Amino acid sequence: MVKMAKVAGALWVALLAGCTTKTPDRPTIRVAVYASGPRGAISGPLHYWKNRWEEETGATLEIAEIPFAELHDKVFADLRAGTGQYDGIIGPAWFYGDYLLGNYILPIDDFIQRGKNGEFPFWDPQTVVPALRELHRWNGRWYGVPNDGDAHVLYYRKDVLADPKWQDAYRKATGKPLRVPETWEELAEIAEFFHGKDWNGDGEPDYGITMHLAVGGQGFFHYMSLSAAYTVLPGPQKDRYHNVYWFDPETMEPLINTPGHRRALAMLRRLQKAGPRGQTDWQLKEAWDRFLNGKAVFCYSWGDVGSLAQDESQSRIKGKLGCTALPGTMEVWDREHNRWVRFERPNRVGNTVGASWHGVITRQSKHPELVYHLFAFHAQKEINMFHCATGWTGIDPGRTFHFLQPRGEATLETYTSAGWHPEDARQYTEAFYQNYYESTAFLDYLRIPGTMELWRQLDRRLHEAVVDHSIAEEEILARIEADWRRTLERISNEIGPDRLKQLYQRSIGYGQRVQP
Amino acid sequence: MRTLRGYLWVAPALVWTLAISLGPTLYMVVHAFLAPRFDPAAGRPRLRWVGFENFARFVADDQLLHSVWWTVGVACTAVVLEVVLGLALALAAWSLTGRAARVAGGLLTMPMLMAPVAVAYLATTVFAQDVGLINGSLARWLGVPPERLPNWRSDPVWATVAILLVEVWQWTPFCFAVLLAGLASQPSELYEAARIDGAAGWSLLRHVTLPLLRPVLVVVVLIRLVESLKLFDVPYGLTRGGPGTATQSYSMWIKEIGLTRYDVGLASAMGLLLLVVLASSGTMALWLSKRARSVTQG
Amino acid sequence: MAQQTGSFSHTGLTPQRWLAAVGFYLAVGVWIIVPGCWTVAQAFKQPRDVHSLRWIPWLEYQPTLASWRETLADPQLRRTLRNSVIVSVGATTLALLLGCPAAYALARFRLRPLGAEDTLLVFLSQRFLPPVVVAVPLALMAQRVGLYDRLVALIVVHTAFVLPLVVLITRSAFLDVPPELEQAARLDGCTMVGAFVRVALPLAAPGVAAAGLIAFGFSWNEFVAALMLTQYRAQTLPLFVASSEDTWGLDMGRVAVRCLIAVLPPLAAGVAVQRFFIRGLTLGAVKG
Repeated sequence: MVKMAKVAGALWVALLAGCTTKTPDRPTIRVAVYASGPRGAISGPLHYWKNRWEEETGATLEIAEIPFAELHDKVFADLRAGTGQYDGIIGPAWFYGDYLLGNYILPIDDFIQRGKNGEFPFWDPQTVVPALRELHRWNGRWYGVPNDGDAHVLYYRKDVLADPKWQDAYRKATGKPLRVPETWEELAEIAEFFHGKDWNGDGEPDYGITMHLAVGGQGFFHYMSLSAAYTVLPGPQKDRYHNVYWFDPETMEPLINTPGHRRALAMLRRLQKAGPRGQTDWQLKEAWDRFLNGKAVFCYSWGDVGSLAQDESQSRIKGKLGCTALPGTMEVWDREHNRWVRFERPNRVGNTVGASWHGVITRQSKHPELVYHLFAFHAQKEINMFHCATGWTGIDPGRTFHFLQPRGEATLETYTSAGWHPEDARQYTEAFYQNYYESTAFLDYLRIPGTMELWRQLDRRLHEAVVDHSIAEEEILARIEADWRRTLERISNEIGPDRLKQLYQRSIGYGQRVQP
Repeated sequence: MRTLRGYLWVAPALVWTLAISLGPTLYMVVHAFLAPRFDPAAGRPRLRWVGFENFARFVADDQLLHSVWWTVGVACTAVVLEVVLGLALALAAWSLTGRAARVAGGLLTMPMLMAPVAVAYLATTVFAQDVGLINGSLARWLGVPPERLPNWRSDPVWATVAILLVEVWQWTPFCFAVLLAGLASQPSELYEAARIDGAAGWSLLRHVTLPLLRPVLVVVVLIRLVESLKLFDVPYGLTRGGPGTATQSYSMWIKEIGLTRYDVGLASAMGLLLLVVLASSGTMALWLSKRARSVTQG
Repeated sequence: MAQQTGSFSHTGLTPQRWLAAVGFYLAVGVWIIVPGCWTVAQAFKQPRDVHSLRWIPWLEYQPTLASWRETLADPQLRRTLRNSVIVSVGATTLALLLGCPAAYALARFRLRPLGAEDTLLVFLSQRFLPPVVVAVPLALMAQRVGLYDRLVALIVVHTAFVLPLVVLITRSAFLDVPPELEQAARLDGCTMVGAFVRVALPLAAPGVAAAGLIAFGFSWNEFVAALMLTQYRAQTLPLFVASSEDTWGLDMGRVAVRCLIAVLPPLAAGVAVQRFFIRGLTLGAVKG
């Protein structure tokens, strides 16, 4: 029995080993990316272009797919141990604090220069929108090669909001005109109005909004992009009280337990009630599917929704897609004077929430040029534009050439030939432009060591908030604050308190003037 | 000489096993009392002796303490359910003969052969809130209105129930198989004698079957309890420890703290505590069961 | 299944027995058939049908091989499958090579000062070690000495994990072999080792096979250590299952296909030698 099993096993091993032939003389680079297969988001494009890139360079590309939940552990286990498994990492921007603390990755300014001379595929740093540019840089130097641009925008059903029947009904019910919401309060009111009504005529009650609030997923980004409008006070400079979201840059005190956040969390819960019960279990795809199937009026999420909406095998809303920058608030909490500041026009704070998945080169790599070549290949205008316009790639707008003329260089034709409805494409690109260029202020991207842990703590406490509304907002925020204090204390014990503060200030560009 | 030779035969296996457990144990013992501290002179962190600070941090963390009680509670409940259900099924199967019963019994043992992490991922479609196998069936066949359906992965109680159901689903078959084998090995003469004395049905079960089955029951309970306390795969795949951290098991915390946060001191302290509790109680239980067996058999 | 000599078996079709039969078959149906069919159906559904209670192919949904095609074409599958085979076959072989002599000695020799039963306890107590407790320090240590993400490391650890079970099961198998046969062989001039290899081992083969199977199944299904000791090159099949979840969430069709692939080998092996298997599981507590 055992013998038989062994013989069979040996045969199988031999068979499988025979399948994987390697040519040793070709240089091989291995790039870590989260696992979503040959046709999935972010890893898909690597597979898609693999052959062409290998032909062009004569090198071999090994795509090391790692389960998403384990990507952080695996990448940093390798970097810390110095085992040199990965030549490049396609990671999220929240890895930077840990990357730079250990000095694990290479700056690429030199490569960019050489790229201009034609040594590498060319991409122009100026084409990266300023808000995202900083996510690829650290202390004035480039480290990341742009790939994916992440930001939340608001999607809505323009056919429903523009329907005279609903406009009348809404005015009757609330006394207000039905229009594209500019504040979160407006959004909540409209979502509440539509929630539970069968406005799509399928015989079942439909939803006002749909969100991806599952724990251990990316639900906390909903809260981040929403709360920014309540808490980030615009100003000409990034100082202690203006344009700051996470910590007090002078003391590293968490700013999470403040009146602005209390309102924001209450708003998140209010929106949640205008959506399906199951959404506290949902990850992105489940929430998006409801919107794409015409079951929800609103959805605020990443650029993927827009491009997936064009794919009629999974969407019923092509041509009905409205899109705008996230709403704002009329009042923002001022920490300096401990009062609410009223605004004439909504405080619409821009965001770059999400991962903005992009490549960095590890110091351990024996072929940094090749790795850069690969990332630059993907960052080229033509290829990146193709990715942006195609749903399954998971790559979203963040380069100037994604915007339609005169904002950028793209023509409607670029999008329609990729299957887009022209009007959808126009609104979609316009919404991202608004977010990146016309916001009153910007939500900082947290890039200090331990960001992963801090966000995980945020995520879990927020999930407690959405699954159990009996816990007061203050209580939830106090819990987050306590978790964060503990984590910050541990990290400062390890790397020194001054160093942590220095890294934080550097990562947000503390003291710099804010571009208008 | 004979003794020494005996040890020579045993030694490789023993050394191999102990090497894998003693190495990590030593590592944990040391690191449970260490933590990295920034050393201004060197400009980088150094491992320093911190006494019981890591243990103090464990005790001060509500979420970690919750996971202790939650893990123990789930393990005990799961074991009771598995053994009771397994016993009922074994008794039922025992009274049946024929090919159909054998095939059905064989089918029933399948879950325990499956990878627990695969079972956990498969279970996500079963427990999905609006269209899962369970909620979908409840709504369609029993007409439960949508707002009354359990939110399996968003309610601490239902999430725990879901994990319990998966555990019980996978491991009741183990109890069933072992107990059935135990039943089958009982001497039939005893039953003849008991029947002549007028025992039947319930009293036969209570006074003959169960006492005879006791040593097997003890072993089954012991194995399942020890295995259940290691709970990791199912909440990892099914609930991600949620809602919040309500179903984050003790093992999941150790892994996260040790490998994600890289807080080796705290992870070691937690591992050490678990090791001490499990090893001492487990060894004691084994010793007890050995004694129980020699009493019943001797 | 073990042979059925039930206490009620002579008494004919009593209401009790009838109840037991109905209950048992019903339980098997709910327990195995329903989730089994559900999973298989999920693996053949298109994305839009996955989130729906549709059971019957062609009538209720249009079956598709898309998920299968995608998974079978995934280079990850080939790599993890190969690793899984190497690790589980390697760990099983090693565990049997180390475990059988130990078990034989524990069944035959008098050990002093630690007796056979107590030595067995030492082995068994290793089963109480939660894998996570061992694996976290091992992962940290392996990272230092370059054994991280190596199949060898996983084989070594899995071998240690399954050794206690192997020793326990094979010992009870050796106990069932009458020692007189080996004594006769020794009188014929066989060495101790010879008697073990030529006489005891063949006679205890069913028990050894059961132990090997349990070891194989355990190693094949093991997730915690595989998760912590590997990162890419040495990933095993359970890791591939866990890879079904990405930033967008779980792709249910993908999950179902990967899970089916992962559970089939141990299921097939388990069914093939079920009789030994159950006996092995009882850890010698039951002489069945």
